[in-house]
Amino acid sequence: MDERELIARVRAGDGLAERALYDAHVDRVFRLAYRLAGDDDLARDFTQETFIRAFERLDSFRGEAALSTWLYTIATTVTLNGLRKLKRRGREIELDHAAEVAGGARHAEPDLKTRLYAAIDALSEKYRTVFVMHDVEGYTHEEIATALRVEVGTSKAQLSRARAKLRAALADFAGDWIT
Amino acid sequence: MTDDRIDQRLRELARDYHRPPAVPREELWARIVAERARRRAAPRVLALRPWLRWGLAAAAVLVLGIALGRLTAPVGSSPRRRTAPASWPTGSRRRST
Repeated sequence: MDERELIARVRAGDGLAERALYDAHVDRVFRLAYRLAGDDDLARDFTQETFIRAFERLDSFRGEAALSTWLYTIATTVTLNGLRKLKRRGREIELDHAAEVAGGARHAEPDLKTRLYAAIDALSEKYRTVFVMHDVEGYTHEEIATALRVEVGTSKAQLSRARAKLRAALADFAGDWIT
Repeated sequence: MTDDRIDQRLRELARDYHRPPAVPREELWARIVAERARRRAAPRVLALRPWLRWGLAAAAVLVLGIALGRLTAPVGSSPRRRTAPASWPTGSRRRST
């Protein structure tokens, strides 16, 4: 079933088509939400809200971009707004699970990785989002630009600045980079 | 080491940043179905965005202020309009032409 047919069937209220749409995109949506939130519960909440909104608003999807790009736009908006709301409330996000998941891989270069993750966390929201989407999750600048409603050039410039900030934050590890 | 090579190394190291667990597909789908059903059954509530809330509050204060100002203004304090006395000759212009 091609994308247009799938969309038409979802619009007609076909439950199987809804599930097919969900299956086709849930992995990337959840991964993006998790990478940005760093918390399992939040990633689940944001993924759930993304698909609920997508099904509610599918009638407004005009097909100018790919359905996946449209979904990532919703996912990014839901996730960033959710994180901003939490930040405003000053709620402490429990990161135990994230630390536990990432912990196994840290043994190789614990200091460097720990510092890198802290430096990524310390980036401003726009730099961190572009860095995570491009360098960690492999989104294209076109997808990022659409999702964040910015120009492609802006996405490239923000990625370049994010990398420069990370390089500067890890400058004292320069000798360890090649290992 | 050039910036490009450092960036490549950064990307490799960053792969473990907030590494996601396996996607709980079935559980998430069940949650989505349940939440959509709940929202369909629940009465629709008008959710105001924060800026709209503040705008409405400001407009309400303004309306209240104007209403209070009008109610508490002393009677007769408004400037009187000059009206032509009834004794003015109304036909004087006609006569002059």
